[in-house]
Amino acid sequence: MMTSHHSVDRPPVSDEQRLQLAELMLRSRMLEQRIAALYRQGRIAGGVYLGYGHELSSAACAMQLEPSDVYAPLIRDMAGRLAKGETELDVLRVYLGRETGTMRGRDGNIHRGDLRLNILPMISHLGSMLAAVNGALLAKKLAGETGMVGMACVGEGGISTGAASEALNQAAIEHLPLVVIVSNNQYAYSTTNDKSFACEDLALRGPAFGLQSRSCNGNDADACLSTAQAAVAAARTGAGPQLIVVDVLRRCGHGEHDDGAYMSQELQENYPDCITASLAAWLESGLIDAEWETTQRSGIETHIQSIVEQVLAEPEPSPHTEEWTALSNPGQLYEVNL
Amino acid sequence: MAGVTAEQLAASVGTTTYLDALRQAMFDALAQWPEAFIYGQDVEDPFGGAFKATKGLSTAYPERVRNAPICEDAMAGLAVGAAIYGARPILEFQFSDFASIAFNQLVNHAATTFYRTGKPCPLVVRLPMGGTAGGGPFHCQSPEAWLTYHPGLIVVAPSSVFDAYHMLKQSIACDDPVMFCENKLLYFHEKEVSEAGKSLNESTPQLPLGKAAVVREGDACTVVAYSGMVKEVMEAAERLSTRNGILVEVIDLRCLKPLDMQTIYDSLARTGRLVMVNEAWSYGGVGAQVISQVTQHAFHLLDAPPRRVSALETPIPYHPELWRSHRPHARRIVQAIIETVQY
Amino acid sequence: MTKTAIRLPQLGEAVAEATIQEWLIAVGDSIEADADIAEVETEKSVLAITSQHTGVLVEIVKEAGSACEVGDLLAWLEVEGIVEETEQSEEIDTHQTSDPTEPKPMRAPTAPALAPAGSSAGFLSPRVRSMLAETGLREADLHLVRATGTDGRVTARDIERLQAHLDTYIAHDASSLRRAVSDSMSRAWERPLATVSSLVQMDPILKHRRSIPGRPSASIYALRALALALREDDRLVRIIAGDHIYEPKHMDIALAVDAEDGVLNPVIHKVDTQGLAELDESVNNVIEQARSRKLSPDAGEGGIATISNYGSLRITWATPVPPPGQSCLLGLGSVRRHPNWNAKTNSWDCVRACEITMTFDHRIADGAAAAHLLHAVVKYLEHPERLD
Repeated sequence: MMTSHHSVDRPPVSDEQRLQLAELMLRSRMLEQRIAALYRQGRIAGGVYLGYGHELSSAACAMQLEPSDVYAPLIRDMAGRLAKGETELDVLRVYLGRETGTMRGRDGNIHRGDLRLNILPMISHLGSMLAAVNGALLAKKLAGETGMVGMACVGEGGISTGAASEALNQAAIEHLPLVVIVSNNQYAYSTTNDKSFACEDLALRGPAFGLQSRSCNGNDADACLSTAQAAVAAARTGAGPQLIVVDVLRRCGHGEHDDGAYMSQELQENYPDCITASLAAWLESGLIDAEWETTQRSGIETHIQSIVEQVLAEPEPSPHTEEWTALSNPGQLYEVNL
Repeated sequence: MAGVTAEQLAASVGTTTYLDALRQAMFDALAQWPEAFIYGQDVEDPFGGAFKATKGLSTAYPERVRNAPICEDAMAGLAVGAAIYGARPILEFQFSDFASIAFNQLVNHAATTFYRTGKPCPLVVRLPMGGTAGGGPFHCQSPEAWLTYHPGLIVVAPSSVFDAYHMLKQSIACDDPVMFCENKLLYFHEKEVSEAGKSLNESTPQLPLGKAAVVREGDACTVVAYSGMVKEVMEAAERLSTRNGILVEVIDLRCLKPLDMQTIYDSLARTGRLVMVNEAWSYGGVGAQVISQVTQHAFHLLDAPPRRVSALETPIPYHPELWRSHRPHARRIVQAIIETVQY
Repeated sequence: MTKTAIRLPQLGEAVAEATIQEWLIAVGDSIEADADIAEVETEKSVLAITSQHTGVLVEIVKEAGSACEVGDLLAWLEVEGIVEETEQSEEIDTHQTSDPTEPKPMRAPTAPALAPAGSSAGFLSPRVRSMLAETGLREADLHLVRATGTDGRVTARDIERLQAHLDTYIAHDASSLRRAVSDSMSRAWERPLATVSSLVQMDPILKHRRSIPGRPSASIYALRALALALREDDRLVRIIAGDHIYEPKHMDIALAVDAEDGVLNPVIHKVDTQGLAELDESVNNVIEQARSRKLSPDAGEGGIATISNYGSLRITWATPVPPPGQSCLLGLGSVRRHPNWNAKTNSWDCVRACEITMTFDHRIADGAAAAHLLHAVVKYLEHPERLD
């Protein structure tokens, strides 16, 4: 679909980027497979929500960010988080509720953030993180910083919330370097597109609020890398907020508690797995050789195994040592000259 | 109002009103903390805010006083993100009633950020609350109860000109999110003639943000109030003193979360009787919390059942006569005190 | 003496304020109820206001010439006794013709739940209880104070006044027995008690006791006489509690025994099943234990009635109080010589006799039942052979 609201600039993509993407996708998939296994072993409390099918677009977008850029991933952005610098160790410490993790057992799993890496910890209320990224960008702008970008991820469900609408409008008014990634993965839990939105194309939402819009196929590595690169560059150079709609398919249930039995067979045939398809194409194009995948997988597997063992041995939080305060410094309330 | 100074702001009227104090506090805060900024609907000059609380400030600090579109949720969300990134945002909601739109960002985002991440979230939300005649159901509410409910938010409610100034500055300096409840009726009616040659920004705060104040001493009954109700209670106390010879002790809570219960217990040790007055509805409110703490921790001090005076249990009526009866007023407070003292 | 307020009354429907024109009496003067006390000028006329009470004018708050509103305090009057209406209720009444926020009849779903009906009389607030604990005062001591709370509830201020009153005395430690007796007497006195009495000729007993081993005292005879009389008619020893009347199962009767600094009431069980000699032995044992403070703690518990031989203190007539939990006490006065009309010889004989008194809980029994029981006891005592 090429409509007038789309920006179509397509910067070139390098083999280096493709290889980095291939590695991130594999790491993400294998880490999540291990997390699902740990969940089924009863080692992970709460819910596990996976990004199967999102790896390519998620990583391709986040790869465009600098370390100082702000990133607000959503629940299916394991690959993007790895691209932004999270390690398997960081991820598993949070999933396994360890005191050593960034959330120290106080929050878990997909809510995790790491402010050292400028990854904001999401709240569950969809659409709410967009305004927070706006705030981070405004703070930087007021502090005199330039050339920064903030990327916020949302789905085709979340982009239709009031919070998202307010924030898109806000970003456009403040002309903030925000890049919003709308991953339309065909299902909002079990709700299909026809009950999620009624406009012809979600990309229409961008210009409606004053954002530049782009679209890309989430299974097309070059398209994703190129589109994200263009949008991030535009935002970084003062073109104002950008919106990318990525067309993907969630290749699992909503969470590991959901078998996704309601999902259409036909859709699954239309959307091949992004990892399998890309690796096959890159093998054919000669970017990778026949051993590449095996070597990668074995290295990743060994690494994950050692990390799991390490994290399981790390301390869990204790209610006896927990500080039990929601204020950073309650004492300051009782000091006169605050 | 180019190059406006705090002195000019204060001197623009002969006396300093509660609203002047807020404006001056923000002016001084913008000067003191470069990371502070104001964000709200219509806050920029020449308009200067629905109540003119920010008049002159955008002229002095054009980048740091910013008009927001109508989006309380995104305003609060922006404040959270900015606070995490080192700013000290000061939000102005035109009416505290609209805080309901920002409810999610305030209670789920601002309130949880420090606990979840260990990163302080210093932001202030200015909430003009409480009644004015004719304001009706959507411009008169007092939302402090549901804000105090959530761990991670500090909720304050100054009742005097002096406190409006110092508590706002203390709130801006505070490293945790502060819900700053202002009272619209006090904006213009609460005035203070400044001491000769001494303006608010030359004065020093007498109390830290979290402490309650005994604003009138007495031995017959402790009356706890905050925000606009302090004025009503002081009026009731004066009547009781001159007409009935009943001397009540009045406590201005000032900080609603966390509560300074010690000041209340100390007072109850003198009086043994408690009347709790809040302009808000009673169910699950600040008064309920005060009384629950008192019965749990100071039961032995009570010589009469604690009593509450609150708004009546309907939405806030539009007609001024209905409104006047709906909210607690001096006569109802007098009655509750007498019933408590006579028990 | 109580101070009461004189306020500006509502002197006509539309009158809201008035000016004091003249005080008709001076501070220190006394005034009768309904007498004119001051003249005030309203927009319409000059009117006299009158005093509601007889008393002495102790303070003028609003001097002549002052403007005042309806309900304002004008002066203080000192009056004898307690003034019924409080100044506070006046305050409310004068200032609210009608309060629109007062509860109106509400539809059921919105009506607030009401606490169970009841009076707070006798309710001690947490603060009063903690003050009692702190000062070492006991609930029983609260009769010493004038309760000023709702329904006569004792308030914390009342306790402070009591403490101040006690501070005008010299304090000594009371023995535990004295404290217990004091407490029990306070509770005992909460009932309406009545006393009936009769003269009993004692010559038959004084003669009869010589034939019994141990020569039992008059108390032993009285114990047995009361037990046998009660076995025939127990109306005086029933207990009323709640919706029930409780009849005793056993004739367990207590005997008041003087001890150092108080009286003990050890119980003799199943008196009606013991002969005089056996009873004498039981009683001597218990008295010995009581006086040497070796009485088991539960020996003082229970009992349906008590015998008090106050005659041993050379008292002819008294009305001792039945202990709490019992409804009846039989008292024996001192034996003295009395003239007794002998119908056979048409002359006065000299007999030895004593007054016996029966004090009972008037809620449980009437005078006639008490008289009936007392006559039955007299009959047994004057015919001691029937007690064998």
